[in-house]
Amino acid sequence: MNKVLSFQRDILILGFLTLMCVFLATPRALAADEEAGRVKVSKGEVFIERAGKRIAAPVGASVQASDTVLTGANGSVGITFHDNSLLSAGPNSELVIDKFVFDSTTHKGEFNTSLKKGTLAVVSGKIVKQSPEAMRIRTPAAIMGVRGTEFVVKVDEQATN
Amino acid sequence: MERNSGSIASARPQPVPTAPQPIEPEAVQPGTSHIDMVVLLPKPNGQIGGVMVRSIDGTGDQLLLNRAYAGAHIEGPGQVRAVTYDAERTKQEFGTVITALPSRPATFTVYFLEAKDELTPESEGEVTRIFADLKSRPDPEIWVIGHTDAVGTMQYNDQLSLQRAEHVRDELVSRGIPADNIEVFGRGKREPLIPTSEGISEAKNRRVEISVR
Repeated sequence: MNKVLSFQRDILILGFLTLMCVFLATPRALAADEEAGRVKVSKGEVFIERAGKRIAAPVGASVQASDTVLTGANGSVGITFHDNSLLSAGPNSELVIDKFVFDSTTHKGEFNTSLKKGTLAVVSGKIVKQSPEAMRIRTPAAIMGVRGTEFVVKVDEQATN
Repeated sequence: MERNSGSIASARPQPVPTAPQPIEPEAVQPGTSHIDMVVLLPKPNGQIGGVMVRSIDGTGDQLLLNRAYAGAHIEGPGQVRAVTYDAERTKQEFGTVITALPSRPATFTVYFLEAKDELTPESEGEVTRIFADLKSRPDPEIWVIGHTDAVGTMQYNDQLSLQRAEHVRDELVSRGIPADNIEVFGRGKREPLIPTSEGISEAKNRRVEISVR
């Protein structure tokens, strides 16, 4: 009797371990729920600020909604998002991912970013193809509704003294 | 004060200094102001839907940019001004950030011999180029989706489509792409490229689509 019980327990443990292995073997693309995009280009100093913490952002790093992407004086970064939008930031840039929502079946979604300083290049993706102007870029002085294109943005800070 | 935009043909006239200076309501941060710029890039082979530019506070005119190198300078409430760039000036001011754009996402299709998980000779000749493209991408996320024509049962074709996709996956892994970066699916005969009646042999439907971003 005892032997049977302990055998059953072993089976349970084995089953649990098998489940863990399956879970751990799941491709990263499926595993990271909150991922909005991934860093594909990272040169010089590139950081992500998330929940008050600053982390390095090498190639392969996940980018999430509400992250702030920062580059240093020699830094530049390129990110591919899940709707195939591409964003890159040049040196001394600060880019906030305000919102990223994308339904991979209907291609409906919303993508809002803010360029606080520096330079930004944009190639729009599936969200814009499905719903023009569902992608918006803010700068300190402007708001841009994207209808499907490639463009660049610069925020030039001028001392007024 | 000389501004960066001074060299642009249509630069806004500098305000004539008068005393006392009013406090500029558009100042975003104390001690600084902004001239934000946006410039459309030429698109290799696509239509340009454009970018609608508005002042952040919603005042003033909005400006639709829909030609290559059409640009706008935005400086304070309601001040959205059309400017025209050219290739050289765009490269000068934006070359670094344009270079940092990731590779464009792409989809490739390879074809298979009837009822087999072996590539056609034509596709065999193309895979080197395709795999080189995939391998050149940093951290590629790859989806490999197998398909069949309409000959045979649903179950048989589900199995065959998956075998074709797995064959492509194994080739990619053998050429150094991490298996973790590849997801494999078999769609059987559900998504033909060329719709046919049941039981029809169609070479264009015996395929694997490889998407990468």
